[in-house]
Amino acid sequence: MLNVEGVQLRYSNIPVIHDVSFRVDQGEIVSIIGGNGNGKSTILKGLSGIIHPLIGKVTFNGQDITKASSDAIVALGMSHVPEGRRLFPNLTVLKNLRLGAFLTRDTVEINRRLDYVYGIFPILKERSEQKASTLSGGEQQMVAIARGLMSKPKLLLLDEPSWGIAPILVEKIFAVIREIRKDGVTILLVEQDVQEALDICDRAYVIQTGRVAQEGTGQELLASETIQKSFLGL
Amino acid sequence: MEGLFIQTLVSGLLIGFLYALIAVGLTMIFGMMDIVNFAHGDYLMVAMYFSFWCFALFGMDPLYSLPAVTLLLFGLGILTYYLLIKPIINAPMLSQIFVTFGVLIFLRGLATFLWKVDYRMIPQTVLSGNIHLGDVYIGIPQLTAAAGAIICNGLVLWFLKKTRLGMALEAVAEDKEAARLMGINSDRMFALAWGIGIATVGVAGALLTSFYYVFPEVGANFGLIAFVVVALGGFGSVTGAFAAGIIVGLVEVLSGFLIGPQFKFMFVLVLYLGVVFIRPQGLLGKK
Ligand SMILES: Nc1ncnc2c1ncn2[C@@H]1O[C@H](COP(=O)(O)OP(=O)(O)OP(=O)(O)O)[C@@H](O)[C@H]1O
Ligand SMILES: [Mg+2]
Repeated sequence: MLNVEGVQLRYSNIPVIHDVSFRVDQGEIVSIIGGNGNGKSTILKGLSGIIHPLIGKVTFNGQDITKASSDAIVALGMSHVPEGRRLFPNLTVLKNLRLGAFLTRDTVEINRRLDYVYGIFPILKERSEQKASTLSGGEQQMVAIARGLMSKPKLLLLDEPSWGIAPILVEKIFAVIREIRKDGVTILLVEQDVQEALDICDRAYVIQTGRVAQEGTGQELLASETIQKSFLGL
Repeated sequence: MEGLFIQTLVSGLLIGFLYALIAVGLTMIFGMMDIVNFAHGDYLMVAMYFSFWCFALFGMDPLYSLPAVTLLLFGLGILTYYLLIKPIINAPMLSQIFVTFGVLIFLRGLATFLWKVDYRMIPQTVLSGNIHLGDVYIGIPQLTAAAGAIICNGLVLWFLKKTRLGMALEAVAEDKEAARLMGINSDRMFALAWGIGIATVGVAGALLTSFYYVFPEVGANFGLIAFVVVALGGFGSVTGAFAAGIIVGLVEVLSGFLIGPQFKFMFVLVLYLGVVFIRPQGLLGKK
């Protein structure tokens, strides 16, 4: 579904991702893990067209999207839930969600999608007329994920969905990720909580200073000594 | 005396609505992309000349040429964006100031060159006349302008709050990058903001031509007032601009009435300074 080959990504002129290759297959949950500042979020930005690789190639469902604009990428069925949620704070929850479906004009379809995300996060229906900034951190994360689902993506990029929320809600968020996958959405997950990230995924990549340092199935990596030492504190 | 006072209040209110309309485009463009359009008042001047020439050349009343003037200014706004603003959108603030200030100088120079510094006025329009309520005289052109401004401001607000594109404009204003992740093309939204922002000035100019002189520098005062309104209302706040327009209109006429007409702009500027010192974010501004 997604194929990343030898991609380099830079800000201004400083390369952050040097040479990264990986793939995500239809129906998978793939995790990207790695310490702070190793370029995980940068990779996601490079996929969703916020920044563009100068070297390397990204294909999505057979289409070359290396140089594609973000609106084209959303239209192709990729949706990026960014780090730190990035909601529109002064707009209502409902408007945030509607904006997630910006590329669709069909109101019946939009309502169907709203029903779908309200089904996943019933609390958001109660909060729908509230300004996004007035929600708790966990609720805001739900809005961010729901907003990402409103474009009806085939591939959902999630950047640290557990960031800044209570442990009990983290469980809930991961349960939701599993549920979304069951509904046919492929998931690429960036996550600080390495234990959870490896538990939930089919395969994972470890990013270190802008390169893939290790890859394997979740189980393989959980058993790996380097992972246990560097991330799980075992 | 009392009648005169009410008369003054009413005229302040009427002109205040128009100020709000002039300011709305300025605040919208600023809110979207943090660019201050110093030439804002000069687009008003351009609109007034269009409106004037429609009358002088084709005998078209300013009220009837209003849609055409609005459309023209909409186009001019979009053109300005793509030609001049887009290339400097990520440039340092100083470059941005030079560009919009350059537009100001260019437009004033062009108008002076083409049409001389003469004050021009349309002697008789379909709106000419007064209505009186008790002791209070209200010019029909002024009343129409105020009504037009209320309607136009209402439309802008409705567009921003209730339509898909308006929502996208607000989203870009709130978080450009997040808006891109929704599939919103921020470039097109910027162009649209310039189109609408300048078109609203077009409406204001067209309404103003029925009762105000047209001359190359006419944008200077109105532009200045628009800045005060935007600062008072809060940079980027459209609803703030509505309220602030009315306040500025009232301050202007009341200080003119109570202290002396030669001081009225002084008090508007005092108000501006007061805002800058006491509440720099404006009445409804964020931050
Ligand atoms: N917009 C930017 N401009 C310049 N440098 C940036 C920008 N964003 C990130 N960086 C730099 O790129 C490097 C990788 O950042 P990135 O956010 O991708 O890391 P990360 O792995 O997601 O980290 P974290 O776990 O803290 O989220 C960091 O050194 C960071 O300072
Ligand atoms: Mg990150």
